[in-house]
Amino acid sequence: MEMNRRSFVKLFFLGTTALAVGGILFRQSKHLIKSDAVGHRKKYMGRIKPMAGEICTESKWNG
Amino acid sequence: MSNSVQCNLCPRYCVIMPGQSGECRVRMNIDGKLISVVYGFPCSINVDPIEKKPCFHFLPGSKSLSMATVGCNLHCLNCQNWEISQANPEDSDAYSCPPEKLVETAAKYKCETISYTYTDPVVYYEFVLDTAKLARERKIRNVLVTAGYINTPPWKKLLKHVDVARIDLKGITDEFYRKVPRATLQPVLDALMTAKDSGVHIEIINLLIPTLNDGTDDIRKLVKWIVKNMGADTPLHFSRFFPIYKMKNLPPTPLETLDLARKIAMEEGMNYVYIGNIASNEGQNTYCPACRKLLIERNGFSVLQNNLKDGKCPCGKEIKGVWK
Repeated sequence: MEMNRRSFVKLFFLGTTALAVGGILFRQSKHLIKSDAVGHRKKYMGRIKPMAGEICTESKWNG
Repeated sequence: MSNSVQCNLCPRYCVIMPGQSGECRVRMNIDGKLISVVYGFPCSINVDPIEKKPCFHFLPGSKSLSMATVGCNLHCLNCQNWEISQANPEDSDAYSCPPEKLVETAAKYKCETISYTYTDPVVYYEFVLDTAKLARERKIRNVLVTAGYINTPPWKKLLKHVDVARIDLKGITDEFYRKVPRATLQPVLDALMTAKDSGVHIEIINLLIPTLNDGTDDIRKLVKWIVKNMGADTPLHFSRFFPIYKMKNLPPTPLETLDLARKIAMEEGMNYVYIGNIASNEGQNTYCPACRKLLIERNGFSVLQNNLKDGKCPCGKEIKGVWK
């Protein structure tokens, strides 16, 4: 089957674009870590308050 | 995009860039790893009556060590605990209290249960899971107070270690879920049905917000769904809305609306329907569905009398719940 120059250029660009997008997605999927193993942080990011007597009282929060 | 992580815990499926956290604010990408930054750091620990959750058909009159960390995967415009649910960990105070210490504290204060409440325990999932396992070993039971916005696999895993799921069904339309908690309805319905299949004790709460979900058609639709999918014996709590946070433009729910909702639910066949966040006589007591005898009389969070014998009404009718 003969292909004219215009169709060839069109197909060439379509092919290379598809390859590029596929490559990016493949590379990204390798980095997209799923959350099956979630770690913990030993140090709190905010302020730590001491545990005191207020524990034995009813909370002001709803629920 | 390298080193981004995707959190599979809730239906938001946040893709989190390094140094950033998900919508819940507490699950963070640190050096390409998903880290729960509030594990072992509750912002609130209190001893509450179990009635405050509210759980009316589970060890009435018992004490529950109730805890929360900051963060939430929902952003309800009417959140009553927004100071902690919508807070960043770096801006908040917390106790250093890992699971072992939490269970020890529950035992020290003679609490029969630990409630994971105030904010949504879904976002401190790993902390709940480890604490619940340890609590069971000490014969302390676990109560989840949640909106049920969680994916099915982690939900199933968590349900194996809990005894009660007190789940918010905030509305019965997707439109309401998109507008108020900024979420979607179907995952919550799925979570409710998964919880039912798991066999844990379930109580449902619905907060009635004037003009948004308090129409009789909405109430009837919600109740019909519960009767069909969860069963008529599921305790249902209608709760009163108060203007707060980003929803100060609406009035508190009128008492008549709450009474009407209870009436509709009972017309549809529900056996245990309660009214919360308001002083109400009938609406906070438990009656036998067979003989209408007063079984548990409550005032606020206090149990005034309990006439159940081995989980049964004196007439012999078995009352759904966990009573000892």
